Amino acid sequence: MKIELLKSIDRLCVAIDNEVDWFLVSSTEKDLKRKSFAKDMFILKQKETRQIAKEEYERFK
Amino acid sequence: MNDLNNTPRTFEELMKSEFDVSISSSSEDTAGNYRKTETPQGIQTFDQIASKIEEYLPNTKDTLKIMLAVATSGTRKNRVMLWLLLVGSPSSGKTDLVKLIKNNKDVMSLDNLTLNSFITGERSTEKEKTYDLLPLLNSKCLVIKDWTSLFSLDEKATKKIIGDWVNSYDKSLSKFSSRRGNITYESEFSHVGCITPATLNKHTTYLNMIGPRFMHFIIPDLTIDQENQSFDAIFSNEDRSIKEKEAGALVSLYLDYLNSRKILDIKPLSKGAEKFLRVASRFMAKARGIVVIQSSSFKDDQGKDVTYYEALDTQIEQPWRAVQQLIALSKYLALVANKDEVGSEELRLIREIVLSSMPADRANALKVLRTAENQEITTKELSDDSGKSFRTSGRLLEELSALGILRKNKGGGQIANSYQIEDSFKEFLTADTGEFLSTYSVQEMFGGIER
Repeated sequence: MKIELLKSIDRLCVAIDNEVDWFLVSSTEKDLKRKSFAKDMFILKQKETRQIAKEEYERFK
Repeated sequence: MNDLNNTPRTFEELMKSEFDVSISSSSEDTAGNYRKTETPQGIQTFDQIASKIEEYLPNTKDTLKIMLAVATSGTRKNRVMLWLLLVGSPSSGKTDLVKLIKNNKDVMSLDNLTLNSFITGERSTEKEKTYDLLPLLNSKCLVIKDWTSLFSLDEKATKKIIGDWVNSYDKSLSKFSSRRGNITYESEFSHVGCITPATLNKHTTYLNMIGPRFMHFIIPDLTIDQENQSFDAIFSNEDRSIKEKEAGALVSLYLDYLNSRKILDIKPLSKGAEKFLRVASRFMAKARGIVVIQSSSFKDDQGKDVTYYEALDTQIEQPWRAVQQLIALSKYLALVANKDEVGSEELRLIREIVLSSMPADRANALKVLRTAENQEITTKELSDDSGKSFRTSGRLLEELSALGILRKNKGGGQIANSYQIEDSFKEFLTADTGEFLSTYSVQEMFGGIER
């Protein structure tokens, strides 16, 4: 059970990591096409993180 | 457990980890400064993008290629504008496909058009502004995801809107209104619209008004395996919206890349491709023609009424507009596939578009003919194969014969008339496009180029 919990935390951390990195790139990137692409990816990753958080909450509540 | 990355990753590192794509660290090396037909690092090829889209929209590679070709054509000046209708039954994925490009900055996506959208006759006041659509469309692609809603307006309104479409095809539209005076806009844009076969067949009157300005492409049916793939995806409960957003972002990026390329990088058409497009445009012009058919009857020896059809009048357009549409489209198809010349694959798609751009009943009759022995068929054989009544099949074959697509071989006595594809169109309709091009190159090599 503890191992499962640790794996879930890891999964969530990776998702948050991705979300934050795409957000930072969308803010700092100078090339307009890359910036626009990074914004789209940030929104995608945000959705993914929420989904993972919801799943893990349902699993462990 | 993964080590957390405390240093934010760069765009290049994120692209590598997300899509396994290596791109240059300098933004100067991206789409803007590449050498002619080389795909810059970091831009996926069309095949890679198509295979990603087909993960959730199976069998859409051809449709995606044609859609991108038409979309990118809108950002450039062409001899004729490319307007395309994607024809597919409900839930065939046509709306999902056009949604992939709707957020691109060179695309304007609308659900409906109102009366006088292109140029309004109203004058702006202090409280209310008025907007004209036509100048906003210049150098863009207009996407209308469902033409059915346009035809659901009252007849007068629909005819008015269609009339504006027809007039804007000449790249210039002028209107005089009592409140605004004379307004003229020069605007050039491409168009991708979606329509169902039922709507298309129901509103032939309106579509005849637009006439040959639109090309059609019938979305291919799914195979059993592809249907099962779609069912599996739906039953898996996975969130499609994330895949859709990802796919949309990729396709939009690829469209930006296409828009930055020069169409002049595509080599001039080979003699074989020219010949193919000549035949294709003549065929398309005839296939879209209007035939006035009269039904007559006589009593045979047994006193039974026998009905036959006679073509009274035909109206066939000249192929000049058709050939310009097909030349432009073939070059843009090559551009999308990142090739530097029009080849057999592009011509195969052109043939599909030509066959899709004719009335559905004629296209179905030709489909049966192409697979018949010697490409010859009688009315009864067509009726048996297509499931249509004997009378309807007879009328169709007479129409195609009057248009010059089929040759009628008159029977005598007990032998029924038979119909065969005209020699000039046989190779175009039945041969593999690669074989067509290579046969033509051989002819050219050994002298005597047929025109």
